Amino acid sequence: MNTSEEEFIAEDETEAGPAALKSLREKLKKAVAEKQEYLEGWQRARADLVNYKKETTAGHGESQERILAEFIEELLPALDVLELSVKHDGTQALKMLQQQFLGSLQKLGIERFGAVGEDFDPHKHEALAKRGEDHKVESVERSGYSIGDKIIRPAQVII
Amino acid sequence: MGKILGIDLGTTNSAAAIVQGGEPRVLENAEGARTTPSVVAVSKTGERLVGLIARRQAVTNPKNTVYQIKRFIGHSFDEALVQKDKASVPFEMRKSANGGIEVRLDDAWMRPEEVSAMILGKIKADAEKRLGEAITEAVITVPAYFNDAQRAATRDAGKIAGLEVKRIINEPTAAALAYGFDKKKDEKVVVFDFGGGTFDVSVLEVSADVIEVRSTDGDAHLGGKDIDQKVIDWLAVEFQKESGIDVRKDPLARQRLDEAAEKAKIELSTSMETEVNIPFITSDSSGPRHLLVKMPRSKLEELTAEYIDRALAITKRAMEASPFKIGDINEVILVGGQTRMPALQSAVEKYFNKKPNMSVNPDEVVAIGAAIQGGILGGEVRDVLLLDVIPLSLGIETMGGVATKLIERNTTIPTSRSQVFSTAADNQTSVEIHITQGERAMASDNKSLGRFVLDGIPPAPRGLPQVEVTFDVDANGILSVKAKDKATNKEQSIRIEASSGLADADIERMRKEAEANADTDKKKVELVEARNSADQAVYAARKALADNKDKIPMELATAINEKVSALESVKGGDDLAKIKSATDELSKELSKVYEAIQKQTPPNEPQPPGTQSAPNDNPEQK
Repeated sequence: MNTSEEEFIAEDETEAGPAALKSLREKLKKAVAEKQEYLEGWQRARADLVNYKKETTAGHGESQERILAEFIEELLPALDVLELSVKHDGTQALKMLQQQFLGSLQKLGIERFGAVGEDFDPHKHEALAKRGEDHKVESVERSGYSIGDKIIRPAQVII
Repeated sequence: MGKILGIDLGTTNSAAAIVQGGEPRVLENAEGARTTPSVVAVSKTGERLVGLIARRQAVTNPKNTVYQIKRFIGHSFDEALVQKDKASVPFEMRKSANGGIEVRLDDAWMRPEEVSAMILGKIKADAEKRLGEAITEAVITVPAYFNDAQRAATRDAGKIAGLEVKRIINEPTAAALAYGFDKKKDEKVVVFDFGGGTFDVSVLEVSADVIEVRSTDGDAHLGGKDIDQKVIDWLAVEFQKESGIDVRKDPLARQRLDEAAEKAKIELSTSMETEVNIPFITSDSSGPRHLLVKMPRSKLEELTAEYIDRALAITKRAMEASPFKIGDINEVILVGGQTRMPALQSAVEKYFNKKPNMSVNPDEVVAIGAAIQGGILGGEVRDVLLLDVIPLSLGIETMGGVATKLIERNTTIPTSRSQVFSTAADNQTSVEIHITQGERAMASDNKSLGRFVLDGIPPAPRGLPQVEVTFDVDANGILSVKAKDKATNKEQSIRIEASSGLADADIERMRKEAEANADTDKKKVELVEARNSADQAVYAARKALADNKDKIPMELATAINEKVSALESVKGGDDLAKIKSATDELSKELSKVYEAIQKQTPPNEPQPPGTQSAPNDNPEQK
């Protein structure tokens, strides 16, 4: 990076005054344009960093919730089988196991949802089939789960 | 000027990305997903729904749920293709006044570009929410075969969504941009895009900053969905063999089968066999029935061979339509989630005799390329701003010959780091700063870059003076090192031009050596550290004894002296355990001194100086 004074000396020293002046003006113009370009790039990079920091700070709580949600999502298939088993031939032991499981999830802020009679809401329900006309949940085929405002998985329902 | 959003407006799914800090980044939507289903609906309550939410209510509201609108954008109603596609969608369509297409959404008739605009509108709103700033400009991708009318309609869709479309670019071009191939000269690139519902292949020529599509071909009805269907059918037949029940007739069982089939397909990309497990899938007179089927990868490959063959035949056609031979092709890029399938990859590799490239996520590569195009247009992506990293760590030699790193390797430059060090001996008036480069733990094993002396430090007990050492690497890799005594502000510095002047081979060799010697180096450092703390303990003990002669009982002083001699006899040796235990014993004895003094000293009197430990690391004693 040799931005020394040399650059601002007209190349041809024999150039007469006005010509030398003109060539210097052009160089200055180019330098000012470059300065502007670099300044803008620098400002942009600074702004990106500041914004990114703000975003990651704001997203910190969210990302912890997301890690938990991802973990729970992996466990849900097992929980679904438990739910189905209880529904079909639920022994007392199975029911207790399910209650224990749901209780533990509740402590972590995870709620199970989906109930017959609710108004169908695609924000939390996924419709598998339509039987009635009243747009209400007729049966819940697979429960939904949420953490805070976030739906980990919608409930699969028939309406 | 605001940021320009890059949007991959797909037939089944869409995605958005943006350049931030010179790097493209895929933006998550409001639901937290990196892709948004290209589905639009109006609910029974009149609410407009887009994406995942729209898809969830599709079966309850088939007439008011519009998907795959990309198949219709920019077409006229009477085209044969339109009539064919129309038969396979549940929503209503009609011919508009000017011969175009209109689809029905609730009680309104909408042009396809208006439907696409709803998808773009959600993407825009979600991006704004994510970034916290308004987005008004976008680059949108379209298939290479889109004609002028389809491109113009896509542009209009952007306009309706409140976006100024800075450019419409081809999807394969975006993929090439995402791989940075625009910077290469005279490259021939094939983009193989096997999406959810469509297959496209394009042959590109990159020359002097222009990416030109030399040929393109495809099948608008070939994609991952076909492969899913094959898996579903196979699983259903396997189950039927055993149970006599065709679960495909039951919509609820069908739903679970769909999910399980897709999961199995994905799993078989990484494992050789998967177990499909759907308990309580149905029931008969004997009670509940469970589906449990093992599926080997070879079965999936057998089922999908026809689709792979079809894709390759189309690829062959595209190659023949281009001016190039297979041997001319420099790169093959894979796009679309389905290309994660090993059988597809090996078929492509076999045909081109070249390993295909999928180092950029195939689901996101098009959106990333669009974002890069946006970055170029907005002046965010510039060659002058390409940032370099330092190849090897930079540091100084500290007490015992340890190399203390100030800047870790792979740190992006320009950068500046500083750290405060101190003296190792009482009344030390100068420190030598020895700058080293490399990953080894001991300074002598690293490359020496230079050294200088900072003198004139006022005499003080060891550990008290504060010498701030600052490393600054500029954008050209030139390192400046400065040492400053914080008490006197006296400073000394050196400039090292050749800090990155190593050949790649040397860098690689130095890294390998560091890896190979990691264990021995670690032991050396542990020994040095143990010796240093032994020194520290001996020093503290002597100082405590000297400073508090009258307050220490005779027997305790004798005990301490014994421990000091014991430690001194082992600390020069190589037995780490012995040095550590001797140091511990001395420290224990020493703590009794403090207890003794504490008892005799009123609480507000300052602590005796001998009990103070050095606050900082110590540069080598010279």
